[in-house]
Amino acid sequence: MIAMSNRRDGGVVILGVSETTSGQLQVQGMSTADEQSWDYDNVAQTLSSYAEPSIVFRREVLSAQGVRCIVLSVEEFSDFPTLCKREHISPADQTLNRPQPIPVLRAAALYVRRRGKPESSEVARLEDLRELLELAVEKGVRRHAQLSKLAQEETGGPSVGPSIKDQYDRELEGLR
Amino acid sequence: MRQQIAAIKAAGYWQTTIRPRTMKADRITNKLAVPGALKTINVSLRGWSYPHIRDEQPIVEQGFVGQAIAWSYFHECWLVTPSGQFFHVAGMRHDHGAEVYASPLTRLPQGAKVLGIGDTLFRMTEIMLFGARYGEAFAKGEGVSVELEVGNINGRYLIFDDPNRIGFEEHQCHSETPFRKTVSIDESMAKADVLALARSVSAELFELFGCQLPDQVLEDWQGKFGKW
Repeated sequence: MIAMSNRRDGGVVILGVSETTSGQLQVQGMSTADEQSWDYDNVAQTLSSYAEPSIVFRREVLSAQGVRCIVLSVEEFSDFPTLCKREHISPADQTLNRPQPIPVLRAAALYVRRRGKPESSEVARLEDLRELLELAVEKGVRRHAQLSKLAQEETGGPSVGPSIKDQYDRELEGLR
Repeated sequence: MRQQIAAIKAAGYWQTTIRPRTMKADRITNKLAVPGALKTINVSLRGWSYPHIRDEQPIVEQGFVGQAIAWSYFHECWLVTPSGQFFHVAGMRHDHGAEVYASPLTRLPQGAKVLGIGDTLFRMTEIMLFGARYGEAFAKGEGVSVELEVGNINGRYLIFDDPNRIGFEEHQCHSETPFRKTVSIDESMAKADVLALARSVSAELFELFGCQLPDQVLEDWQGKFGKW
């Protein structure tokens, strides 16, 4: 989900679907207990403990072929690319007590969805980084335009004054 | 009024200043009509309206018309200046004796100061909705800026003040300066945008406590206002 949030238009995770050895997708559904453990608040809290800034997503439950699946629709990041803020080691590795378990998630890593291959990985190729940077710059320019508009309003803008703000501040002198 | 404002700001407080985008020094021509006008646009989400207007004569001075309220744990002052600038300051109710309703797993040190997530969301929603109405009523066609200041937050604990939600981590503020934020509200903004603004400002405040809550969680929480 971290990698999907770093992708233009985000991505979708479907829970309750498996892949056969021949590459076909099979709808298996989820048990009630599993479905409850993937409720919105649980997913949001877990994500926020790994992702910085927070990931925006929607959760829906779809019924198909008599079984239920959960669909998590991840949105692209809104202001800054999502970074992984802490390490995660697979519980299996922890159980086996390996001397140097390899983390599944690395702190401060930047994950992306690779082009041409449906997998998430740390940024390793120029093309992946370039795409992500383009998206971040677009959003930065938009934010800058909004902030400039707000700054102009606070100071009364170039066409007003000794600033409107100063006039208003004088009215409240000694009160706040 | 100055003394009441200073007394409120000696503890935790919410301060709001709403300013029409155009400065008109004598925008308010009838100060005595202001309380009645505010009463038609104030926001009532939880029993105590924002701003709360008392049925008594306001304080009228050369520089403003306003009221000071001190009842139970509600300590607040509001005033409107001749230019139509609105100023409001309210004490955080838990600092004035209001009972703390935290989720079951919350453990706080003795005498800890708190800030409720739900209380904050309510407050910011009230402020933003009122800001939109104030602009419509007093600055039609101009828009307003809303300056927020949340003070005396250093050392305060952020709590999940909803018994149906559980926070697993401790969140404490270590900011010695007040939280300050200025936003713009235009008449063109839909109500959903105004509510989103309330959530985004709340989220920024929560980050000072090291707490990051996704917008959907805040939206779900906010969506329950008025539906209890």
